[in-house]
Amino acid sequence: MKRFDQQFLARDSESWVGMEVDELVGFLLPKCQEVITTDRLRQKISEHPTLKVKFGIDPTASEIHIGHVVPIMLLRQFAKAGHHIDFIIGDFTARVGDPTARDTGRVPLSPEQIVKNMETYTNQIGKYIDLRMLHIHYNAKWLNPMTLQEIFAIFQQINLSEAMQREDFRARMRNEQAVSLAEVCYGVLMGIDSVHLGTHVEIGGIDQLLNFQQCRKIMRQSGMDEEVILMTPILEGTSGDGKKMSKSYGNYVAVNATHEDKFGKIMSIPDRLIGQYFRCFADVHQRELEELDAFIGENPMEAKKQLATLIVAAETQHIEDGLRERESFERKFSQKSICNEDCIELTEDANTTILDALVKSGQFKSKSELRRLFDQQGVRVMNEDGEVILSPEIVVGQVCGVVRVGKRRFFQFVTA
Amino acid sequence: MIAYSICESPLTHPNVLRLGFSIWARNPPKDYLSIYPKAAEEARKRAGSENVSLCALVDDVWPMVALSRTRKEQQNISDRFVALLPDLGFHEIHLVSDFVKDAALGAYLPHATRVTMSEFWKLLPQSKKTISDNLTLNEILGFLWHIHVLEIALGEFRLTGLLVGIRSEFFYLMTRKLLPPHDVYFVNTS
Repeated sequence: MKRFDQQFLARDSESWVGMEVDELVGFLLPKCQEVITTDRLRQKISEHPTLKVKFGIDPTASEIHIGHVVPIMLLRQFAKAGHHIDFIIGDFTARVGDPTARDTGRVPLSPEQIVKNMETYTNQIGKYIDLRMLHIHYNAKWLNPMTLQEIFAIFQQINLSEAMQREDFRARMRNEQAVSLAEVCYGVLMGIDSVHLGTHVEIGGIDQLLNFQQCRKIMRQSGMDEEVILMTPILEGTSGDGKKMSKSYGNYVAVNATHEDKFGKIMSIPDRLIGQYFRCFADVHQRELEELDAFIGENPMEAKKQLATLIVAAETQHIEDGLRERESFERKFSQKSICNEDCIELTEDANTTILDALVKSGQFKSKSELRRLFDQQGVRVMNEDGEVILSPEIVVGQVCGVVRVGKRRFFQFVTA
Repeated sequence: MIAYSICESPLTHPNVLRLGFSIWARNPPKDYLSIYPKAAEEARKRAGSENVSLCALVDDVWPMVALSRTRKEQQNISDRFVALLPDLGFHEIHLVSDFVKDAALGAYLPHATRVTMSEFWKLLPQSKKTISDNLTLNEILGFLWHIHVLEIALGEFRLTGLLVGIRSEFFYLMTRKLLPPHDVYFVNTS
């Protein structure tokens, strides 16, 4: 059986410095949904031994999911090839609020929130990219002190009507939702970042297209060569209902999740997403796509296990970590064999209801979450005869065997 | 003379009204400005205050930037404001270049988060709305700058209120939303 997980993980630690242009582009393109433009990308790589590659984030959330990591994986490819990475922390633009893909305005962040979010953010992306490869900039450093004359000269070149012509703005205004003046200016501020840094290539999600177009315009009007834009897809969530990965949809894999949780959630994605996830999280070359897709088509379960193994192992760079989770997963779900290590042991009075005992375990957000699981017949006792659905009123003394809650949590009760 | 006023601010010196009047020093001052000292006196009577002090806030920074003037060119016009306004009855003359020390983007852009595009559109005079396709983002910049100037002036000169032309009604209604409490007297200028 082909082991793509091992093949791709081994590639993680390679240096790509000096790689031929077409070879590098062959690795970059599978990660991109859109490139403006591929020809200019090739040309820029040829012309500049060290490209200036920009990636910017507004530190709007403290905890991120693997959907946020997708452009980081593309950024990492440039870093491996020895290019200069400018990592912009939008401490100034976060005060303004990126309007991208919002149906309502964002709440601007306080400086304290920004600092706090940034600390946790960099800790999390540090699992996927060597932070020492990044030249970290805070854009308030150059945006904050811009003089009236300087900003006037730039704003003078941007037509107000054109700035308002974004489809997301028009949709919001049609729905009588507010668009702030600051949001109208946001793309221009991003463009000033690019001008300031002399960016050759910018990376971001496809939802940033309108901001990127503004960046290119600002560069052009400043007499600079327009940056090349590489846009990654917006990762679809694990539930397979077509919605993007998002905390608010509950279809996400947190970067800080345990290996077990990560593995389990990746195993829950529909088969049609396996290829997209591989492209996002592995260094897949264009010439390998056909073989990979054929493998996924013929062996979807095996491909998904390899994908989950790879995503777990990518965090530590040790394939053993991924393989350990795979072994554990197969034991629990394929062989239905649960060992003591898989279970959380709870000591309770025999007359305590199983609902109360599970609430006290601290493993669930709320009693109502647990009640929902009971209602969905998601709490079962596993014994030699198979699985028996439990009701919340059953007392601990009546339970004999391992209790499975949801898909992946196991409990063993000991009576006090 | 005063069309209407909004007086809600907690006055720290109820016996003395301190009113600000903001003007853009694009062109040399004209005699029609004498209407404002008269309006200030009317405001004093309405408020039942003993005294009124009218402070001219002469913006010599924005025209210099917007019209690409040299410092010297702007100085010639600003000097004429300084010379004429006391004769018209203004008690204090303050040039914006003297009292606005922080002209950096970070000082005034945050106001932009609190104003919607629809609100901003209402502020634009009809003459600009008819050429809306030709307007640039500097319309927004000019608005933010003006808010910034007023914010500093209110604190720096302990102004209790602003005296404004009725044509700028929407702008100053917005100003009340963004800035610390202050009174506004709308003056009929026609």
